[in-house]
Amino acid sequence: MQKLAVLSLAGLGAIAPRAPAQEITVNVGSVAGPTWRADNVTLTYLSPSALRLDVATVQWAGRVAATKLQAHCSTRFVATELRCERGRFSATIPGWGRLQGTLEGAFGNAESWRARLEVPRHGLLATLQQSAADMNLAVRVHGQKAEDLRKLAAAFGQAMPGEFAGNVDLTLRATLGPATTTATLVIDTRSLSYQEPSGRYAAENLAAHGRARWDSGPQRWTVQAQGRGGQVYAEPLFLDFSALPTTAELVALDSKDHWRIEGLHLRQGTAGTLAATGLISKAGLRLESAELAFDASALAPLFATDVQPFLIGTPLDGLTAQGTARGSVSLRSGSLTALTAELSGVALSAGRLGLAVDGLSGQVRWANTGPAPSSLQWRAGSIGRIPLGPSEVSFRAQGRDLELLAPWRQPLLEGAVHVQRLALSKVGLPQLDADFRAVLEPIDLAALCRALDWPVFGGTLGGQLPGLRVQNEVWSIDGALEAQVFDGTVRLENLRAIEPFGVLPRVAADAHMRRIDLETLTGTFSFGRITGRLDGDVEGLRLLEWKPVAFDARFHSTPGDHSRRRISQRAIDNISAIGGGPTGLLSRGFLSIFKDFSYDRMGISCVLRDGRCRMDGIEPAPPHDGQVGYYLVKGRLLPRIDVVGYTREVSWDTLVQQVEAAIASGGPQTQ
Amino acid sequence: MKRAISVPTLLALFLCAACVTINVYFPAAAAEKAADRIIDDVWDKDTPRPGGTVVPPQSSLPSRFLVAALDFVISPAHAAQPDIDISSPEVQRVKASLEARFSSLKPYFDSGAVGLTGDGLVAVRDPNAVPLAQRNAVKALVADENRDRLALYQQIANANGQPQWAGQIQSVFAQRWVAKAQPGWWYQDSSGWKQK
Repeated sequence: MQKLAVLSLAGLGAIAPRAPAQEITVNVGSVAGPTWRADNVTLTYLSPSALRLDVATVQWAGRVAATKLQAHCSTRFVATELRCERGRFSATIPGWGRLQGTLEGAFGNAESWRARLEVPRHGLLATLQQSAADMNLAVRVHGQKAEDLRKLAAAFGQAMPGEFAGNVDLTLRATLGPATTTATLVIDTRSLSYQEPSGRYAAENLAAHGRARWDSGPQRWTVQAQGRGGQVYAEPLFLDFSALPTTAELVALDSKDHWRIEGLHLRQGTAGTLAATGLISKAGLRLESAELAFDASALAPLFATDVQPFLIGTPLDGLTAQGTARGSVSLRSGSLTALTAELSGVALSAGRLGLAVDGLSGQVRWANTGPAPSSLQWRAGSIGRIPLGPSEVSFRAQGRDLELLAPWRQPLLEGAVHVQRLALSKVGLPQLDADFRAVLEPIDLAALCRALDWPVFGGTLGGQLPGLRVQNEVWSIDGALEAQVFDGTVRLENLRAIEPFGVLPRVAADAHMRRIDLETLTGTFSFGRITGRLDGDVEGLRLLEWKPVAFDARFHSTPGDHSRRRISQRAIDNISAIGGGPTGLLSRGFLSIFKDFSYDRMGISCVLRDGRCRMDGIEPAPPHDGQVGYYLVKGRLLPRIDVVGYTREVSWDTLVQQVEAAIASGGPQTQ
Repeated sequence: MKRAISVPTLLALFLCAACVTINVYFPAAAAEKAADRIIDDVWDKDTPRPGGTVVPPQSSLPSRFLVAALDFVISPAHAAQPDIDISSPEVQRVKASLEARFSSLKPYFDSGAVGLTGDGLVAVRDPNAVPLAQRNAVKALVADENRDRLALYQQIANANGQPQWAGQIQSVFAQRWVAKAQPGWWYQDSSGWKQK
């Protein structure tokens, strides 16, 4: 014991001024409060007027908060107070190391005392004041390295994985009374950076201000936070406070099992606000219920920040929104139960689906249970490259069901789709069921061709679409569309959209052409003049990005047609060129005096697979040079001109180029 | 007592022996070559190689004699050795999409932010290697890449008339992506992430 006292004295020598020999040492042993405990406490009175305190360990909430605590000050009595002046103290704080600082204090009695500690090197200032039954505590740590604070927190069991850089100012004020405690913590950061190991949370150059107040009476937290600059990533949200300064205010009550959110108010710049109330179960931090109200005066930045990140990996990835919107959202047990939104001048664009709508206004209501009518109007839009005119629709959405409340007419390409009935059930599930009936009011084919970047030809397309079936991501449309083109008809049947929301949306159909007037057709494409009628069947037509990638096609002169069948030199040249043959043969000899020729029949077939077209004509031609050819044009009368093809397989791209070149060229000139 | 086998019994036995089961095996070697061809095109745009079908290796049957004998009894159905066809427009379209994305994805493969998973897809391996503002863009790139890759495996299977092969084609690709990965890129195997 004596040995220990000697050691203590030696230790004291480091911080205490040399003192005369007279001293009184009191070994207090252990002292404990409700949440703290000090062991090996020794109080030494050094004459003439100095006090020294030695504490081996101080524990707070069962953890070592400080070791080797030593304090020394000169003392004097002022009135009824014992004052400690020009004091010094040192202690080893886990995670912080050895701290040294100054100390002042005054002690009247157990209900009236105060103390002030300062550690300049750590920017630490702490004051403690006991007045009557209340103890007031103020701790200020300014300019502290965030990494050091993390180490300190870790030493107290508050593990926070990751790396910090930058400085933090902390101010804690607390009043600890016998019945209630109130505490306020203020945090300021200027350029704080943080990297959590998993990469799910991070901050860069964060300038933020936070203030949290705790009232033990009602068990209430009041939190205010401002993001003033820098960036935060909290998967999947990326918040750029430099671009969109954000403030948040939260009032929450802490009960045994729950957090009750009495109010959460979020403001993101001038773009919009969010207000919410809710109940969170403490077990697993499960959201039990929430009511949210949003008011977005500028949807674009809010949508990009708050909505878009949740759409990554879905067909709606890349969805953008502009305009203004306000509405509410209800959640129960983590699931959406109701949603209302009022849109005004909204522009939406889902690039991946090729859908866009502009000038969208109206109300959207959806509820998990109970019917909720909605109505929307828009000024314009597009599906893929097809522009849509202004329209309005009213519908009812409930759970996974959606139903039109009135027929919906969507104008497009000088015609319209008139949807008389549309009811979808189990939306979003593989068992999606559709009840659909629509009429395509004749649309302008020239406009459609221009929209799809096809060769332009006139006519109209219309028809009845009496049903829709959805199976294995194939949307099959019942009924047929009929186009009136080139004085004949084209009938589209077995229309199917394959994986319309997938990586490779495709369209499939069968097409049947009857009595196409070749004169009108060839006139349209400046191909060379042909008269007569043409029938054709294109089975298994498959379009990928609106370009044909597979079909079995066969075109031939309409059987039983008695119209005049003539073909011009230029058309013969072009057909010859498409078949891979020479051009200009007719313009050189005596045949050049004939402008056109009579023909018996003409036709071509092409089976397109994997970019190659397997060609054939109307019938086999006699062998020539050991090769068996096929008639593309079978002549009639004199001078008789036959066009015979020998090429059986040709690249589709080459074929298309040849047809385009034939249409584009001025054609051979007859001298 | 010895009894001669009756003619009908013999005939029945013969007919049973003539029952034929046709097993269509997944042509792993051909799939590997097809995968290599696609991967070369996607990852190495400077040296494009001609596309098309792949000639599979000859099969080595256990007993040529037995086959000859069987052929004598039952005329064989001349099923061609399965090729892996990668020329369908859908396969070419997805391949083009993968090629177009590679230049965006390559820096993240190089930095180790993105790695190759054991199931023929890609994943964000180290988000901390990506600046905050780009993290969601990388997630979107990875999600798009995976959608395309899954479509590629399915479309190759479809193009070969065997939609059920998609899983096996995916496994073959999983190995080939890793085998052809550039030094320094990260890949995942059963024990976790590794650097090539």
